[in-house]
Amino acid sequence: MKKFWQPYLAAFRGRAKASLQYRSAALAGMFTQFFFGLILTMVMEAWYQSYTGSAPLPLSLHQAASYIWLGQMVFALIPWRGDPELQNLVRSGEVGRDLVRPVHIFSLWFIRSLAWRYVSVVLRFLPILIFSALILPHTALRSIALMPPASTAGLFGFLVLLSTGSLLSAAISVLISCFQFRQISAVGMNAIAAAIISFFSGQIVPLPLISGPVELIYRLLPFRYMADVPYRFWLGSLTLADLPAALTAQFLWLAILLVGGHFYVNIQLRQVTIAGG
Amino acid sequence: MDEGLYSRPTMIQVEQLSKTYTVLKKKKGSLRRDREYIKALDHLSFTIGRGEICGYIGPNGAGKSTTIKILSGILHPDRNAGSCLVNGRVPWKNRLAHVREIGVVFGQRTQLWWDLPASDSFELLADMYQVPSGQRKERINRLKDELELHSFLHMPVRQMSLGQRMRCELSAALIHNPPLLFLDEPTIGLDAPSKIALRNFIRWLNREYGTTIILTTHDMDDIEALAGRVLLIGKGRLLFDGSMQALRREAGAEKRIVLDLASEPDPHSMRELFRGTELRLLEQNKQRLTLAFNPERLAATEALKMAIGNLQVADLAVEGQPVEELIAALYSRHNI
Repeated sequence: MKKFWQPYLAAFRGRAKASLQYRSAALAGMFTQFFFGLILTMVMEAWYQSYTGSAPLPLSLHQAASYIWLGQMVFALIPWRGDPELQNLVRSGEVGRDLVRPVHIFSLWFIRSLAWRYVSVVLRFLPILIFSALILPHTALRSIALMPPASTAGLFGFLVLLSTGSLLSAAISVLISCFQFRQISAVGMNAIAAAIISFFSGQIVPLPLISGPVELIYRLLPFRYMADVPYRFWLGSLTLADLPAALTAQFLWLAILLVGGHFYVNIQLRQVTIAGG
Repeated sequence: MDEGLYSRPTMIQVEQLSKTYTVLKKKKGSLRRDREYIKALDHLSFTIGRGEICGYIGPNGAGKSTTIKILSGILHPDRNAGSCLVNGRVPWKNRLAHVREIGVVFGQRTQLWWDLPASDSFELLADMYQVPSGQRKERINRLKDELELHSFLHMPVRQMSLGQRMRCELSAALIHNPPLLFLDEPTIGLDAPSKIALRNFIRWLNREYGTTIILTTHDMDDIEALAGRVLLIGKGRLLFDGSMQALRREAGAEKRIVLDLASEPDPHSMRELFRGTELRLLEQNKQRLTLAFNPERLAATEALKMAIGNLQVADLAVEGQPVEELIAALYSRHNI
């Protein structure tokens, strides 16, 4: 019997298998995350100690540090750049290879990106979790360790939103790569995307600490739904009652990006030029 | 042109197909870029029947790859410019249905997962084309045997030699047993034994499954070994369509007599000897003389008599003009 998802499942397996070959890259990436986690949490600690304002901060230091560690743990899930395989494909003209497959092209790329993100996260999250939640509390740095989830319900919300958020994330990284149809190199696009998306997803400064017009902006953008929002469930500032609203927002954004992306790619491919042999 | 070719049911029908590319040109010292339009295909028309092996030749930039890309559904041709039916479908309009029934090998690109063994790629591709599990095993085994893939099937593709990889590429394009196969320079960079193995396989495929094969190449030996029919294009236009023999006639092919003489002759006297005859002295290299004649004007036996007549010949050979030269002559005659 023919199943419509069979080709896409194959694409997922292929990318996942290939991504598993790059274990040393994952190891190297992980050390970056350890390093960034430590620096960011220490900066946070210094900032908290020098804070002299009268209003209480929306997060305790322990919560803010946990927020940062969660960000490092699922770092590979944040679409802070386009999918390198896809960008390479567009640049080298090997896009033709995908166009001769009997699959919808945007869906194919989406599934492949998803596989890549899943494998990257699976290869990296455990050591960071062990380090920040189990080792740090027994050292002098216990004030900036990762706290356990606020409740079982909080952990549930975190996991659910993270897994659905990964769909959103894959859609965004495919779109970033596709904007490259109009460009020669991906470097510029990646640099802009990295700055905007890292910040507005909460990977640099915990978003609960930000208020004013910037708050309005980050609430209007889709990027927080795969990072900031799940983290708030872990920390306990959002509860099970907030889950339906968060899921709705994620799926709305996902629908917009998938439908928009599908049409965008089809239009671009109509005009695409594949040069040479 | 051979009559037989046109009695087959049609596989590909191209009529008045055009494709224009836009190129941005930057003038020296200026930031402004001018648009330039390049006609890659200029009202191209041809028909290819089911089960044909068709050589598609032309110099670099003639529009070969553009044609293949349009026929395989990758590129859209110019709007409102001509029509194109492949296997009863318009490739770029029904891309999904279309690509299910074609196989494509781009000799300069890979369709295998670079870091995975070829066997994994085959399984994934069989899934992509939804080949039923019963057929898939038989199909992969068949390809494995015919192309002798056993010894490197489980090696990552990146570690294969080019010849090994190309055999895997060919299998990968055929897992779903397509009735139509596009081969875009499949023998590029291959050594002689690999080329011969590949050609044998292509012949076998055509015989066994009746696969229609469109072959672009710069290697005229490929064409001579495989293609019953040759399409020559230049500047996006069809310049010749017919058999290899017809192409030779069209190009006014010469025959050659290569003589090894008993001793090294005097170059001047050799030139004198053949002056004013139908035999032309092409080259003299020590004891070896190469003479050319037009077989339409002079029978081969006569030519041989004339050549040997007054000389002390140690060894001799009669050969056709190399196809490469024919093609080069045709290219320059058509100014492409």
